Amino acid sequence: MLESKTPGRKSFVLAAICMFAFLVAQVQIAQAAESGCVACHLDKEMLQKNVTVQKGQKSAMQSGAG
Amino acid sequence: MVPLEPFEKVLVSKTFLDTEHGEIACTDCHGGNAAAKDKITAHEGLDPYPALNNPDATCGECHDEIVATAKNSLHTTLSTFITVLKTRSDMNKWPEIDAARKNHCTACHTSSCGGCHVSRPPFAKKGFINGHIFQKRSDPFNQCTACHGSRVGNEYYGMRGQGDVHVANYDMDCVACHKAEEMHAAAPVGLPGRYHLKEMVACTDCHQDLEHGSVRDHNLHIGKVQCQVCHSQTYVNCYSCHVGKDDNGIAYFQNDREVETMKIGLNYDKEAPGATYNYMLVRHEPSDLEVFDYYVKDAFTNFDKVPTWKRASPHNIQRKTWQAANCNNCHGNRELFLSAQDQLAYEQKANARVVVPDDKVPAKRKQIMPIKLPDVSIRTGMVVTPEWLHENIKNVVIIDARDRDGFRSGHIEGAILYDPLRFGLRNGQNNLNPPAQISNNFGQAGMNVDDHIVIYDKDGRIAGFMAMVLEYAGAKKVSVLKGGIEGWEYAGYHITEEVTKPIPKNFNGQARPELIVNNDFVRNNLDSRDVAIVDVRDIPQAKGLVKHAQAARAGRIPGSINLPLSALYMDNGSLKSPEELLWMLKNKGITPDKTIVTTCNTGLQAGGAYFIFRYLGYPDVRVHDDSWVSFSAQR
Repeated sequence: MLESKTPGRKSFVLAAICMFAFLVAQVQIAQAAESGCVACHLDKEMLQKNVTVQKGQKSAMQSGAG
Repeated sequence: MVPLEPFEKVLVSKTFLDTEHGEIACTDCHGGNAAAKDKITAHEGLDPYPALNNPDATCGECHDEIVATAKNSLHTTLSTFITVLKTRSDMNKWPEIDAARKNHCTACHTSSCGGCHVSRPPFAKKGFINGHIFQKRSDPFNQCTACHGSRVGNEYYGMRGQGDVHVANYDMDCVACHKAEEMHAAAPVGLPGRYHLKEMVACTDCHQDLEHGSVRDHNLHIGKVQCQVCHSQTYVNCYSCHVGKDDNGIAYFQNDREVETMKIGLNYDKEAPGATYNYMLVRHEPSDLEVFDYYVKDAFTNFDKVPTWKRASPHNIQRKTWQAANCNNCHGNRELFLSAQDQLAYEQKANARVVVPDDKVPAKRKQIMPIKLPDVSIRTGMVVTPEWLHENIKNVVIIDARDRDGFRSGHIEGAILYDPLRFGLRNGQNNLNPPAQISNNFGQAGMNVDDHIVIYDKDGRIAGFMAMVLEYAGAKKVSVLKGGIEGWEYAGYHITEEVTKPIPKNFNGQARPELIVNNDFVRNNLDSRDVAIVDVRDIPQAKGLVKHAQAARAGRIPGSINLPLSALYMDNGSLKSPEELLWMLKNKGITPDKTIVTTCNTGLQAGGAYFIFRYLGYPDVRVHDDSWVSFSAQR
């Protein structure tokens, strides 16, 4: 009876797998949200100040709709 | 398509982070250095187009089955371009030809998963359309027609012609027909043309068993003619493309001219799936013997092996069209069928299989049902031909209604520049200025109320607006030059850069304020059977899909009839026949027994439409000068 109330080896492994899966899921979610990239690319004001107009590569000799 | 601000192009939405794609690290697809503290280091090794450059390792990680075929789709590879070029080329010169292809053709004509599902394609100056949130269904404005714009988009949405019934009546966007199976299909190597792709959509995918239906003409014509022969409107044909690089090394192309017309050719390609008919619409592609001369001379020793008038599927389908309105609008109408005279000298052999010889033009029918048209007297004098103007050039005042750049590039000798958008005709609210002020301006430009004033521009529409304002100010005889400046030049008459200084006159006009109506008039006549409010904006604006920049909201005046201005004017400034215009207007319920009120966003296009109604002899035509920008702000 005493043995049956003690967590078994299988239960322990199962719990460990669940915990690992949970952590992996958390890490995946964190990857985009906490990326250094989005720190800038979510910041509208910063982008407005720092992203400039790129000079067009259209030649003045181009004509017609194509 | 409104350009995106630079920051908008790269601004990621917070919502994106909660999507499935937001669970993937940015660097997994794009590379770069997420841990960097400065912009330059962060962007080292960055790939802005991972789906194009590395599809298997990015989109293909999850969407492997789709990517397996989509990476070889027509959108990605343009393999039929290569097939056609190789068929025409001297293969000893293929390296140079292929270099030209890569510099010019593929610089624009390629897309990838991202260009259809997350951002504007590179050709459309890119940028996220919804904060990097991926969408299954491509956006027709930001994506599909961002590339397929000048022909397909403009035809479909009523910027060229009347628009397409599939969107006008049934709200169908591009993906409604062009589904994923077609878009993602791999194009087999050596595919002779896009119509050979077995997954390509066909009219008969939806419209089945028509030959057993109630429409007699279906029974008579199915199997003999392509659906579009009867159901398309006129479309634009391009001529003589040449490519090169300018002094700064930037690649460019130049098209010679674009002509809106319609031509029926013989079906030279019955091997394409479902294409067993004898006649089909053909569109002139801009191929030219010397297109790649900048790179290599005499590249196309086999030019004749591929036609330059090619099968076309204009995206401007209507149930009723002018060529099908009456048997003899098509039968016996030699002009409608491709002839040797339609060919340039170097393309005669290439199109030998497409040209319809006289004995294959269906014979005129002896007995036909006449077309009933409204009883009006066409005001023929309101449109003059280049030939007439050349003969009478000393007796008229000629107004060039283009902008300064257009005028400076060459104008008709003696013409006075009068840009109606900038020369004081309208106030800051887009309303016409008081008649006295307008009269004064016209007088300063050398016009008098008794002069015969002939106006031209590039495509007729601004000239039409100018004609309306002149009549509003009291001018007695106003005409528009058929075909505009292009028509003048094409007729062989010379242009000059020499500026004629106007001799100021007293315009001395008796204003006609009754030609202009305001929002109150429109509101009071929304339910009137005697008033037709004709909204001449394009279909997306009239359907409320797209908002004019100055309007309070998207939408349209209740009960208004949408007929895009492009339906009234040909693309190159020439005009459809009065009979065709009257027939089209009658089908829309826009008849001369009613007061016609033309409306648009700011009154400009409405003025262009006013001119056509006046020309057609409609007795009571008025312009809603306030138009949608003002109307939408008041409700």
